[in-house]
Amino acid sequence: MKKIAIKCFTIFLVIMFLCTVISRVADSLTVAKVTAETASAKKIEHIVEAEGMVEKNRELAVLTESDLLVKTVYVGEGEKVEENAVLAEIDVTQLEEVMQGIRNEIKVMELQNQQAKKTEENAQTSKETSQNRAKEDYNRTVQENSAMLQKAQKELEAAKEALNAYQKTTEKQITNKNLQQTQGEGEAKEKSVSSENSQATPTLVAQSQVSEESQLESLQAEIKRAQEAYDSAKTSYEQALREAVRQVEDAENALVSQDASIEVNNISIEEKKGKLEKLEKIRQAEGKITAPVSGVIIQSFLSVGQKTTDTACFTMADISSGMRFVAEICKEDAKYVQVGSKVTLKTAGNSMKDLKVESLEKNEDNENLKVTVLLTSDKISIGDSATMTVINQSELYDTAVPYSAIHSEDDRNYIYVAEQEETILRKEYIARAIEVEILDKNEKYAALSAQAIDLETKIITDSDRYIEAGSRVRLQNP
Amino acid sequence: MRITRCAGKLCKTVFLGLCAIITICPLLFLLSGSFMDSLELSELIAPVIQGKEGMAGWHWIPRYPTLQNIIELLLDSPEFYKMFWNSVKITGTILIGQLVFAMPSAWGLARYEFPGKKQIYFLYIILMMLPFQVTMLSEYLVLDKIQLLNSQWSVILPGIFSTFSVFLMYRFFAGIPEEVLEAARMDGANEWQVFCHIGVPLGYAGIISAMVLQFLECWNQIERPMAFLKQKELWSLALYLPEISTEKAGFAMAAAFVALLPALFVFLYGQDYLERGITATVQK
Repeated sequence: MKKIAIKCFTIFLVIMFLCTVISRVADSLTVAKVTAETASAKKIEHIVEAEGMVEKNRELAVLTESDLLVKTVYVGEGEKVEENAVLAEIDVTQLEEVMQGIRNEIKVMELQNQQAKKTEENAQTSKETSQNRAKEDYNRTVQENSAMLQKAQKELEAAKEALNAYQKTTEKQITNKNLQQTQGEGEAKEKSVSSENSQATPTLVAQSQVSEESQLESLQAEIKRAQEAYDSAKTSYEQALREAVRQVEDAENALVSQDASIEVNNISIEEKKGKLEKLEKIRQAEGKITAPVSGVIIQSFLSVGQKTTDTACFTMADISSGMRFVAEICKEDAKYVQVGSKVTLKTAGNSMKDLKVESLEKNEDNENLKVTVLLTSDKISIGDSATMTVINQSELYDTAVPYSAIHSEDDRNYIYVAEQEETILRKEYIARAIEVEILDKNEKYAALSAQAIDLETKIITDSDRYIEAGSRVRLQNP
Repeated sequence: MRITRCAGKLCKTVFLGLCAIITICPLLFLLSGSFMDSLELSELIAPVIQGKEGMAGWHWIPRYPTLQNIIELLLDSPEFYKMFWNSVKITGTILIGQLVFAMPSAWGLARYEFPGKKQIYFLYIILMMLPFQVTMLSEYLVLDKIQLLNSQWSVILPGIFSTFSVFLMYRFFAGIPEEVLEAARMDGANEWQVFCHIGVPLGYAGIISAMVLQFLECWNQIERPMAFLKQKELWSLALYLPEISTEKAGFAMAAAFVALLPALFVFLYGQDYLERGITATVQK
């Protein structure tokens, strides 16, 4: 029993020893090897890169007169031309024909002007005559009609006076009658005897009354007639006067209106003379259309055998005013680029530094921003593609860590720090999670708020396996 | 009469058997729990460990046996082995130290007469009876003074000079007949030879029982390591087991069972001597 116990104990110890070794090996396999760094003060650099194209800065149109026959076109779209280079040629023969046609037109218009002037003068003379005549008619009309009106007025006044006189006379007679009537009543009895007399008296009275009434009526009728005559004369006077005035006015108005065709022709003549001058210049240049500045032909609107139009023959980019580089950046990068930011442009084999952002425009189709950089270098041409780099440095942050140390979960950011702890086996590093607030970051570094950690804390930036809070770790760079 | 005797024997056997089973129950508890997963354990003993409502239960044969706890303990817990070997180191050093110091002390007390012997023996008994809590502060101050705190020597040295081993061995050395020693002296053996060739072999039972009992005490001691050892890497196995969380109850049971095994083997070896040692303790 004792021997068995000793044997078992010995075997037990051996097993324990072997398991010790195995467990140590297994334990070392599970310990993550990590790289740790301490936080440092840094400025966070934001590098914004974007690809774009070099475009023209200024575009101008090459113009010529319209309706000219194109004989030859020497350049095509995208071709670089120097100042005064011949772009196209106009048919000079057809040009001269056009010029001659214009001259003829000018001549015709001048003759038309002369004719119009003579006609105007004749019209002026006849119109003056009409005016004089109208005035004479007016005066005569006024004279004649005034006389008639005065006459009618006089007749009316005479009729009124006659009536007034008759009425005065009649009143006297009535007064006398009344006196007589009073005396007559006393003698009425005497008169009543003679009924014939009484019958004869009403007859005499009636007869006198009838004659008085008819006279009154006739006087009134006379007045009425005179009044009507006066009114008629007055109406005729006014009407005649109105007509005469109108005739005078018509005659005067006829004098004011003038023929504008001369002015129109003058204007047309001036225009055609101007066009003629331009055509003359083209003719003197032997029909050649030249480039006003050095640049690149963007568009050509001429075709051989066709006539020129009143729009541009060519549009070209003016190299002398420089070029511009245009690129688009996303909304997230936009906060790092401002007007005036320094830009470096790189093309295949060339690099241009110390350029500046000229403008920033929002693209309405998406939320990107269009960046424009003005170029003056001759190392690059219109149509070349290039890569723009803008480096924006932030303020100095006291606590900056490598971005690989940042972990995110549920909108929370945290880092793992290696803290030394005394464990049963030995002093080990244990990973602890610390929640942090990121102030700024780029692809390499992140700036944390100052309260998060101190500058001696070992921050785990890399691990050869997955770690979580509480994991044991080994520092590769203790 | 015979039937009565048989019945009596049967009752004794049954009763003792029951007592033995009850005694061994904790061991079986550990063993069966080692093969249960955490889900089954939490179903059974959650009211005890996690304070949940209801009564705790147990079934001796796991319904969903698993080797996970054993494998995790044996192959994936270096902390357990660290503390295991700490315990081996502490216990082994104490036992060796006691063999070096306690054996000669016991022999001297048992076989030689010198002034103050009875007083020293009396002192040994008093010191043996004092619990650790009484001597803890004075030990702490002394160890701190000699800068042994937070080192395993703070546990080993007091163990080496434990009085209980001396007492146990004393009883056995005192039981050796003087004539045997006289005979050896007469044969020309010096005191050292007498001690080595006569005293130790004849007192072997006491020595082994003392060693077994000291082993059991040192292997399971908690107070001294907890009081004098600050660093966890110096702790013994007895301090590791309470560190295991309640969520890993199966693992804790497996660890406790494995920790029990060395004491079991030592006990099996020194069973006979232990009986004699217990007898000697009783006579104390």
